[in-house]
This record gives sequence, structure tokens and C-alpha cells, in this order.
Amino acid sequence: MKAHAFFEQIKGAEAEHRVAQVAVASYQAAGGSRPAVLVRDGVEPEQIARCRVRLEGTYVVRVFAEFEAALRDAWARVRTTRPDMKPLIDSVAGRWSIPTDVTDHVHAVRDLRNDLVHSAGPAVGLTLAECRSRLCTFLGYIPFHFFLKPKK
Amino acid sequence: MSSTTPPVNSASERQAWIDRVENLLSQVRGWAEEEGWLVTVAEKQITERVLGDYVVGELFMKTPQGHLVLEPVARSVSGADGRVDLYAWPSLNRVILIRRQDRWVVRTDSGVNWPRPWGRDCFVELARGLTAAAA
Repeated sequence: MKAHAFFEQIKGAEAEHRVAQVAVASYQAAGGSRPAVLVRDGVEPEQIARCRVRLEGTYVVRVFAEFEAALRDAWARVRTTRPDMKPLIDSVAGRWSIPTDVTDHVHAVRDLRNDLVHSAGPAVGLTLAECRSRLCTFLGYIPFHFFLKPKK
Repeated sequence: MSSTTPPVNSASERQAWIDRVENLLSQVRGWAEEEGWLVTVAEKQITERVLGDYVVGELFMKTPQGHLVLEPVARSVSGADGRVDLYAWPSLNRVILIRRQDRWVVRTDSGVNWPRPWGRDCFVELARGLTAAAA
């Protein structure tokens, strides 16, 4: 897969979040004015409210998954190992001399993603846009030809 | 742009890094001009958590084969004591100059150290190679 395709997928996930935000807000409004809609769908108003609150976190996890796929794709061109994300990020940073601040920012997103997945309260508050920016900046330091997988 | 507050002891470290980069830029500018290439200098603002905000130069060179940029990236990088990129424009074919043990080491994107030590001949060879590859 080409590098720009990963960037597009990450940005695409962020765009999907905006669509989902609008859709959930509209559904919540529709359910408020016409409760029969929720009864028909078997959805409780509290479930919609919880969905709205957690929506951004859901997409942080999704965007991070796209980032992980991109990183593993590049790493597969370098080594045959499959390290966990923390050592993988550090190894990639070391291989391409990525600025420490950029790497630290990605680790903060990784921490946030882990907190979200494991249902703990997030230690760092980052917006989805901030997460996307940090992850794409990191990927930008990887030479583009490392994303070109050989044909099988 | 948000401003960072560097640690108290970072001022001398920051100045040392700026001096190293400016020396490198001055050296490369001289070599490029000896080759008869047009060189222009711009300012680049860099923000690093450890060093704070600072401004260094950035070189733009016009060779007969194409354009080259020498761009400082950061002092604080993984596995080295600083990084400056040398790349052709607009192909972005590049090598990385990393600071190790008080000298510049040239490394390719493939992670291979350039066999020739950093110096005038090395720079001219790289400049010609990067711009030729861009053609």
C-alpha cells in the first residue's frame, strides 16, 4: 500500500467521525421529538447520550488502528519481527531519527488509546484532530517507499 | 503558535546546537558556492520541548541538475544528537545528517551509513546523486 493511502485512510476515519457526530445528534433530536422512533428501534435515550459522549474516543481507537497498520506495513519492509506497539514506535523512531517530541506525542496518543480500550479514564485529553495530526506527523518521517509492499 | 518553556539549563545546550547547525550551513554554503551553485538562506523556526523555540538557517541551492535543500530538523531525535536533512526538491530524495560523537554522519533512508565521511567531496557527490536521481 502506498504511503498516501494510509494518510487518506487516517483522514477518512476522521471524516467518518464528523458524519457519525451529525448522525447521532440528528437521531437524538429525532428521538426527543418523536419517542416512537426510539421505541421502534429498541434504543433507549441514555444509550444515544452515551454513544455521543464516547464517539470521539471510538474514533481515536479507529484512527490509531489505521496508524498501527501503516507502521507495521513499513516495519515489515525492515524486519520480520512483530513487536508490541511501544517498542515498535521506538524502533521506527530510532531507525529514521525521528524527533523525540514527535515520538513522545505519538506515545501520548497510544496511552490515550490504551486507556480508552481498557475503559480507564483517559490520562491525557486529546481531540481526534490532535491525535490524527500527531500520528500523521510521525508517519511523515518514514520514507514513502517503505510503504510500498512487494507484490506477493 | 504556542511557545514552550525550556528547562533552565537548556540555554547553553540550545546555543551549542544552533552553533553546530550554523557552522554546518556555512560550510555547505561555501562548498556550494565553490561549485558555482546559487545559494539562498531562509530562517526556520523550530520548537522543541527540551530546547524551547529557536531560529536557525535553512539553505536552498540551485545546481545545474536541480534544487537542493539543507533543512535542520531537531536537536532532540531518537538515537542521535541532532538531525539535518539534505534533500532534492521536488522529488524529496534525501539523506539524513545525524550528529553522533561530535561529528556529522550521513545516513540514507534505508538506514545505511554513507561510506564516505562528511566533507566537501561527500557533499558534492550527494548533491549530484540526489538531484540526478530526481531527474
